[in-house]
Amino acid sequence: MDLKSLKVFLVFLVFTIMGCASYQPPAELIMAEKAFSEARTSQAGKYAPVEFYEAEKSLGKAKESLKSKENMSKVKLYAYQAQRKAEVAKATADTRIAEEKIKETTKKRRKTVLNNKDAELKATQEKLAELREDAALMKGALLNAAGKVIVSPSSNNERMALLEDELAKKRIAEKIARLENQLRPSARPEKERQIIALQQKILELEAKVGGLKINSAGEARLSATGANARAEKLVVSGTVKDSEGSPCSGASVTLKGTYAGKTITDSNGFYSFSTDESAPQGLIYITAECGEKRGSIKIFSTDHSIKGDIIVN
Amino acid sequence: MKKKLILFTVFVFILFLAGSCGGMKPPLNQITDAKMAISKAQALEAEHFAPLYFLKAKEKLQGAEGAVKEGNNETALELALKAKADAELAAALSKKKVAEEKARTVIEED
Repeated sequence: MDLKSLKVFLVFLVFTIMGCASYQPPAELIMAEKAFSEARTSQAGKYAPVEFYEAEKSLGKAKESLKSKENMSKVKLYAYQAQRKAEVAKATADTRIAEEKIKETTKKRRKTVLNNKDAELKATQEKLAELREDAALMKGALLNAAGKVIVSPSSNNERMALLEDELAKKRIAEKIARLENQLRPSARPEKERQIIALQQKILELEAKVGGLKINSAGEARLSATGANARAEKLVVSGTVKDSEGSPCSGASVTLKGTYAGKTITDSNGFYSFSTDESAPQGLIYITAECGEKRGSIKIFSTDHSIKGDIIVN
Repeated sequence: MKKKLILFTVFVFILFLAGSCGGMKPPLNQITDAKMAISKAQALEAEHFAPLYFLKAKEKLQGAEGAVKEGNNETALELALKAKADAELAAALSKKKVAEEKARTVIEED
């Protein structure tokens, strides 16, 4: 090989090396490709398609500039931008995946809460149905006991109240009928004391019946307010005796003043009044006639039970 | 002689024009874009969630502004573009961290 040929070869070699060097990708481009590959693995194409496309475009621009032998600093700049865009795409994909997880978990939790509420509602509905059934049974029982159908009550409470009243009236009527039988003239002397006792019992029963309330849940309980209301009715009782202290049986006793009434004493000279009114404060005037003998007393009532012994002469 | 003088003047004028047009202007728009990207990242608390890239972006922006002052517009452009890219990455990483933290809390509560 002569000197001229050697020179030509060397020039060719230098150009070849220079040419290869210009196509050698810079570190920035290699890193950009790596970042892009990672973004693809992170499913950025699916979760962050816009950002992924931007990164792809930027990487293509960097490669193109390298191929077209542009200024290396420009190639590096494009590669740098491509790398950052690929990283942004990956971060955005990760963000969307996390957001999706939040959405799924929240949805799952809501579903669980909803299912629990449904179960609770179902249980409540079942309980309500049972209570309704009980109330219906109770109503049927009361209707049978009263022997009468109550028409057009506006609410359950009203219906129950009416039924209670009917029951109480029926019981009282039965007792009164029995008492009337016992009050026949033939039976009078022996039965008078029993009648008074029975009348007291009736009053007590009436008070108890009035206090019995049946609520919508089918539970029967004694209402304290009802019982008190009955117990507070005015009861006036006492004895009629003559000046020697002997009891005057069959004496006529009259109640005057705020309340009016008339009764007769029993064989022991005992009498009793009960009024339908609650016991207020007021003046009560009681007179007694035992044959030719008369007597009277004045009492100012302050309590529901008044004791008034009358002496006739 | 006169003809030569005219030709010389025209040549000088053309050279002047070419010089003034080909010279790079300061990359003010790119610097504004970088500033906006940094503000957005700051709003997403990138200073806390992605401090490395946020600081890189700020440093590059400062470099770009310095380069403009020195009249090195080409370097200023490069730094401004890189600052914007860094700030965008910082913002994306902040969003990711917030979402991942929230997801962790929600899953733990479940």
